[in-house]
Amino acid sequence: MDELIFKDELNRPELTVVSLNNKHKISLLRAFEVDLKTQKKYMRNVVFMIENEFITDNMADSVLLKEELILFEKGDEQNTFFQLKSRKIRESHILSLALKLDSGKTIYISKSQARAIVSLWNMAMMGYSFARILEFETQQTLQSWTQALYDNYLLELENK
Amino acid sequence: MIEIYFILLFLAFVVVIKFTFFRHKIVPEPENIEKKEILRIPKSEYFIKVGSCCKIKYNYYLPSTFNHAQTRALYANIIVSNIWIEEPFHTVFTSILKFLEENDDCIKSESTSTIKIKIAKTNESANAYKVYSVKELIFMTVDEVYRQIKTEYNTKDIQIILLATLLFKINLLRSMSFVYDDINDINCADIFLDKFENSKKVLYVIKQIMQETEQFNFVNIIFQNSKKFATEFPYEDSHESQKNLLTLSKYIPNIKKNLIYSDEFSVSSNVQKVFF
Repeated sequence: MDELIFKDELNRPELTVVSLNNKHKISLLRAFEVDLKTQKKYMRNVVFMIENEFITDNMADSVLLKEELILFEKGDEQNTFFQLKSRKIRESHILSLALKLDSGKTIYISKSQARAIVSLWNMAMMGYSFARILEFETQQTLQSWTQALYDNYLLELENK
Repeated sequence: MIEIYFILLFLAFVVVIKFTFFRHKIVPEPENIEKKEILRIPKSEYFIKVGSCCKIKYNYYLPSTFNHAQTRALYANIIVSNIWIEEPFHTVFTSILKFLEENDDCIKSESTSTIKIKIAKTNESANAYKVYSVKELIFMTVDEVYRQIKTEYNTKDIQIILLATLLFKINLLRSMSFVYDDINDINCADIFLDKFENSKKVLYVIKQIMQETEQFNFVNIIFQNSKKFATEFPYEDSHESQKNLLTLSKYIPNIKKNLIYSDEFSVSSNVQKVFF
């Protein structure tokens, strides 16, 4: 039934936040389109956020980020988001994925954290069809993103 | 039979005379239509007021000169209700209102979180947060300051304090940097006070407010309190939203305009700089 609904520009997305990791403040932001006639939700965009900063902005990039987390050790320098780094803490070598934010801070993700994030991603996607997100993914601008964040009360100080 | 004819003729004669000679009595001529129509206009009207014996004409600015309802309300509340139409205060006050209305700017809200947005396709990025309108904050403080001081001071002092409250946060407008080199200097308010005879007193009051002296610190407190009731707008600090700041008005001298165009917006910058 998804294919029968045509693309509607005026229908603004409804944003919801799923927190994936509390230590690093990693969260998943999903944009929904609500059809009031049939009372159904359709997913239109999925975005990774770390500490109030967008890491990805479309479906293709966020799937790529999730796959890099699954591969973990097997990934190499061709990774676009994470880089594999070995660190020495208390005289023992550990492997972790590193990501540098625009604020200058670097985040190190362990193996268990990566597994937890991927399992939470799977839970968040459960029950929604992907037909609409792949066909009619929203191409948003800076202005439309700010308007959507403002309409869904995500610019309030409490959500920090 | 003849009697009846006579009676009919007499009646016809009476009717003809009534419609010819007494016509002006049926439809009397209007004497003072103008007066009556003017008197119907309520007292809050901007153009004309009429006294009991003679006409008195007050020249206010038309309500259509202001675009925003908030400016119209402030003008009606302060100038129309007090009949402060003496020059040059009247024109100075309205010109500042007009300037604030045209060159509005925003400052960051105190109850907001910033989110950094990126778009991969066009390689754009911006910070999204909530903002206050500077014009709205200033108008709210002027309204509240007037309400508090109208019984304490005489009219001339009230006028000076109101002009000072309009101008003491003028450096928050980023477009003022095109008009004046150093925004943080207090003397940049002097541009608006060319025709005002007590301009030095206004500058003195602005200085007192900025130094937070005991007498005038209440203006700063009112400005801070007005943020609680002001409306918040979404804003992103991208290049496109900063374009809106450049509403070049008549206040900017021609030499400055050439500089602005040559520095940022013209393709052939060498040609423009010759004029300067």
